[in-house]
Amino acid sequence: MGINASKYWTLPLKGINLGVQNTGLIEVPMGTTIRQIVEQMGGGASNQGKIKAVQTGGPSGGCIPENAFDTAIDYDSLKALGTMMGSGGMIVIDEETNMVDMARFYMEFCRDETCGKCVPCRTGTVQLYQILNKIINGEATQADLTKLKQLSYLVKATSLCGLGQGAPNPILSTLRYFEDEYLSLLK
Amino acid sequence: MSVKTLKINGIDVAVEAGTSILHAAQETGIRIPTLCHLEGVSDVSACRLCLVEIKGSDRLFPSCITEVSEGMEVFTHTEQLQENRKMLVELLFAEGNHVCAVCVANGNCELQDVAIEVGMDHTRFNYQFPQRDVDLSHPQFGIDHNRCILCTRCVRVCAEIEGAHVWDVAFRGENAKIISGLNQPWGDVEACTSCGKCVEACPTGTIFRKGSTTGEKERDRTKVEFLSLAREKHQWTR
Ligand code: SF4
Ligand code: SF4
Ligand code: SF4
Ligand code: FES
Repeated sequence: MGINASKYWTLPLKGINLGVQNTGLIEVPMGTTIRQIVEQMGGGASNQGKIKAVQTGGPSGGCIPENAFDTAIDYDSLKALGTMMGSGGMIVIDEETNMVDMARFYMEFCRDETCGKCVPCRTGTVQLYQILNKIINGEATQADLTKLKQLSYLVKATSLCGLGQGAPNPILSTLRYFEDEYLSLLK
Repeated sequence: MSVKTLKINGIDVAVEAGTSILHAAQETGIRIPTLCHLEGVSDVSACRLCLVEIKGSDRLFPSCITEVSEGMEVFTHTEQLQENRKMLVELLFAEGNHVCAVCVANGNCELQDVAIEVGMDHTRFNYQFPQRDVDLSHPQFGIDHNRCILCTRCVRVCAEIEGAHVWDVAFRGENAKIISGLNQPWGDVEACTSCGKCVEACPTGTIFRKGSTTGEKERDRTKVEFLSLAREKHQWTR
């Protein structure tokens, strides 16, 4: 029996650091809320931690903060939150995780995976990764943050294929919901 | 011949169906910056400088490969597009090792020309200072990878016009590199006919004639165009 992809969502549920208690592959009907997945199926935060966000859609997707967990999941609602269904993965992030670090993790992946054909993706992912490093090392200023935003826009708008167009998404979505984590790292 | 009518920057234009936006703009007297486009060979849409806006879409379109369509409204020089182009050129200068003062192409370089055109006077990005080599094994020509912007014009002109297919791109991402033969020294590649088309096609000082020094690489556009279009136009003299 085939599964109707528009009605069901099969997702690998994972946690960074401690994340949720239950991880693994689950299948839920469209319209399930993120809270149901995280708290009921995932069993809530493991080890007394507090969950602050989930990342959906893999390295080209984005994060959803805890205060939007009551959103019923479908293609459009995720898009409205600045992320996507993408690969279908959901990674649960607890308070131990720094969102800038997470963005850097995904940018490193894109930097290694870019084919190198078009200029914005080939060189932009390298530069974005370096700016994120600078921020995490506490060496960045407001000017670097501005540069990070400008370059994220450029890579997203001008890249040739989906890899480059999606690469800045983790930065843009963490900036949208967790800009304070970036600001607190600036000097 | 069917004709399409469109508007470019508010100007009414009528061109043959199948024309690219880039060529339609040229006919209208509007110059869109390009680096990877070369007349007479296929387009790869890699440099992204020629991106334009089309009314009704929030995506940007590479004008070198996008064909005109009826009623289209194209904008080629909006503030955002100009800013994008400037940033793209800044990224290119930060990526390679461009020391214009000692380059064969100084003053005759399409990368410099585009930088001037988009008003770039410095790069806001980190210089990467990559470790790249110079291959002087060919008896007549040399290639200095420090100046390569990976536009692949050499690859296409050699494969599509000369039919020798000496060049290719190897590796990926920031390590991508133009290679000759099976990543051999250029001088060892027997397929090279020493025709010099890649020297003419290269927009920068990467591929050059041996013996030319700073600023001596002359670029004669008509020569490149002759080399690439002569067959089509039956201009061969013998
Ligand atoms: S190719 Fe040569 S002249 Fe052109 S930008 Fe690079 S160093 Fe300068
Ligand atoms: S000289 Fe001619 S044959 Fe040799 S690599 Fe250049 S374009 Fe190809
Ligand atoms: S060698 Fe010249 S033509 Fe070839 S990819 Fe590099 S810059 Fe372009
Ligand atoms: S000229 Fe169109 S992308 Fe390079």
